[in-house]
Amino acid sequence: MNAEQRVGDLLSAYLAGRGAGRPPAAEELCRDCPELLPELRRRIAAAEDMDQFVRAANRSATIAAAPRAGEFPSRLGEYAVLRVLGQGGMGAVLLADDTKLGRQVAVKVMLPQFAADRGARERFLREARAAAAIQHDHVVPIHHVGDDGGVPYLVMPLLQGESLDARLEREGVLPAAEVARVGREAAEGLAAAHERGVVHRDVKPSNLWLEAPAGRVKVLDFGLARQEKGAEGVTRSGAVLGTPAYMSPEQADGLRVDARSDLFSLGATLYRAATGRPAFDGLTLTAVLRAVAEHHPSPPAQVNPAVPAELSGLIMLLLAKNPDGRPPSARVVADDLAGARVGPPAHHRAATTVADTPPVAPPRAGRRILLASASVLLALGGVVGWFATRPGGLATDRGSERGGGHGLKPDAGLPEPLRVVALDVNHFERVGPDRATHRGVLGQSVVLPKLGDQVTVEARLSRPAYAYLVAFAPDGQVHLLSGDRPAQKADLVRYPAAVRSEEEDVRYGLSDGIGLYVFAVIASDDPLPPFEAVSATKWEPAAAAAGEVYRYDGEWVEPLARSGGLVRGERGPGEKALGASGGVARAGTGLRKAVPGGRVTAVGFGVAER
Amino acid sequence: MASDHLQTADLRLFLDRIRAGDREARNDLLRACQGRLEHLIRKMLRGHASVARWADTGDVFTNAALRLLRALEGTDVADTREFFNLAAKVIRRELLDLARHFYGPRGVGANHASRGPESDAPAPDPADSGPGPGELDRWAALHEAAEKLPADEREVFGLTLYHGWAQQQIAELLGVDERTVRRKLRSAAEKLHAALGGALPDIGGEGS
Repeated sequence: MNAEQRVGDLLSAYLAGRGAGRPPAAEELCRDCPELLPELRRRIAAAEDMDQFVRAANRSATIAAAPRAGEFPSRLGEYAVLRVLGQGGMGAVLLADDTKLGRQVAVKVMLPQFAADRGARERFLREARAAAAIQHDHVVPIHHVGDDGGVPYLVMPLLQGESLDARLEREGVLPAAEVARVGREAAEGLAAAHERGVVHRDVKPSNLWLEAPAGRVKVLDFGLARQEKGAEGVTRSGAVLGTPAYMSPEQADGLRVDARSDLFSLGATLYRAATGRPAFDGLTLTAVLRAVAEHHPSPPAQVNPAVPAELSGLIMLLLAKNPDGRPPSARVVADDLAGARVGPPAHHRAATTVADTPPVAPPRAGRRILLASASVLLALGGVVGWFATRPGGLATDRGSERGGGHGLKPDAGLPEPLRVVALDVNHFERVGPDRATHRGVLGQSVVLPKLGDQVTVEARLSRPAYAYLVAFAPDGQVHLLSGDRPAQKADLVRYPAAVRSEEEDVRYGLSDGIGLYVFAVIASDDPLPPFEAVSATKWEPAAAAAGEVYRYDGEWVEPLARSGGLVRGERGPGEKALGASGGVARAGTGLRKAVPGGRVTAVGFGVAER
Repeated sequence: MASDHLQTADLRLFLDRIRAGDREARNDLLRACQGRLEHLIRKMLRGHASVARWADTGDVFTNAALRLLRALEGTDVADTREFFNLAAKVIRRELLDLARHFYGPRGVGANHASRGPESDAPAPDPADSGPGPGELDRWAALHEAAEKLPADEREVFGLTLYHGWAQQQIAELLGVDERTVRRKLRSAAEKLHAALGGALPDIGGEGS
């Protein structure tokens, strides 16, 4: 036995003894081999270090996620805690007695295990103070923000009434006038916050409180939502499907959000109130998130004919995928809802319903963005200008997809613009000589494509068109994947053409060398030129590392992933892109030149040596 | 599952449910992974005051959790061992990405100085009472070193650190005895310790 093995055995003996609660002394273990003592000591120290590290990493992992009521202090400042009213992942709302003023209040308190973290505690207090500074009729007021022995809390009035969520659970659908009123009041509350630079980030039916008796809206959880989104909305409680359904696409994408994200969430909330069903739904979290990013729900008026076109159009405008396509501010939304023609409410419920407003409000050119008909659209030069001049406007795939086009479509009678709704490259990792396992869509998966892996490609168009699906390989070859020149229009083009993707031999093998592979779709309303014209596209292969994934939409190129980690919010004009992203943009540009007027989208990624 | 930590009894029940194709078990599993990721992020960014200046910690959790779920969504859970290995890999990458993001050579915090961005001295703000840039570098080094472990040791270490499992649970999942798990874990620990030159991240003794 060599020295290395002997030290290993001695270390095992040491650890076994320690495990039994009687760690032997290193000197004792090395009595017959003193020359090994320094090495054994070093390795014991290393093992102890690592052991301590792993134990520390796992400490507090066993904290139960749901503390009981008894775990909260019985008193916070001058408030005597009576019971727990409700609880989320990071905080709880307690019913308490204000002993000084002799009234009952709601106290929101941070859960003890989070309050132990000084940074988290400070953020809670900072944001509670920011929220307390918003004073508006439609925002729940915060009476007091305090810290009692390291437990931060904030005090709100005990509201009578119910949340919009509870009301919808009970009634299913709200009358149109009520939807408009709730939307207007919520928008006014949001506007007050936005004007102070506070973004709510968790607008949803359960955060809109309808105060008894008239149902006046109070927006709840202002600013705190920012804290709680991570812990409660998605990552901790079982309610993972609750919040994402109201999340804006940019929020779901992890991009920076601004006030317009709240407008999308308000739109999703009003959609549910007007139709009784969520705008975005799915069985799993990913499905919901995908729906938020890609699905265009039917306009509320189609789902529920009782919803007037004007209100339906405004809700759809709020749901524009691109923030630039939404109304510019909550204030504008509130004004538009105040002027919206919503018809007589089915039930005259509250004194504040908009039923009292004139049925047709005079449009304010350049400001009003609620579009009832094509004639209104044409009358409002300022509005048309606003759509046309916003960044990435109607000309781009993404721009038109995310723009207000959807809101316009049902009422304005404009044709659906042709665009590429999605281009997914599904990665199959080779895990055996004749076996490959699906690893997800490139750009979303962390498994990096290697030489010999396979892909399937699927492009979805906004409406049927003529389309080619094309592969650009690192060996300089350009392949047509979609078969012969299409004789018919289709809104789905994929490789393999039939749903035979479980059959390995029909997937596209990434076996044309390492470097950049680009898959692109070019779609046109007019019949396409023969593929020879397209395959003559000049294509200069570029280097790309595995893990880099880029998307080009005909104008912009953006990274979907880079070296295994997603990069957020970076994009730039395709013609200026360099390196691998430039390669993707050039492949797309080449196709567009070959098919004038065509819509192109390309996804490119690096493939490494196996 | 109410807790983000799998108890041994839960685990067995859980694997049975997954193998029986129980959809809800899969969601529980995703939530457990999510809880673990969040826990480790808290550990890693523990007291890191400067991080809060660059990103809302809530966003960090949300985004990391969303990417984790997306990556795991398309995978087949029936092969639980493969699933946990992939989850460990995703969690490791996510943590590495975060460590680099905040204090990598080009991380948002790399040039942070209390005197402002134009300062030529990229010194950490003394007001940051938490661990400094070196701390996140050490985390990054640990995750990188873990990536380079031999597959069997990486698996055991991954289940230990990235999933928070006890040796007994690991033995059960892998169908080996606990001694084998201990041996592999010890070997992995020695390699990591050597790779980091003994400079382990300061994980702190308190809860997150």
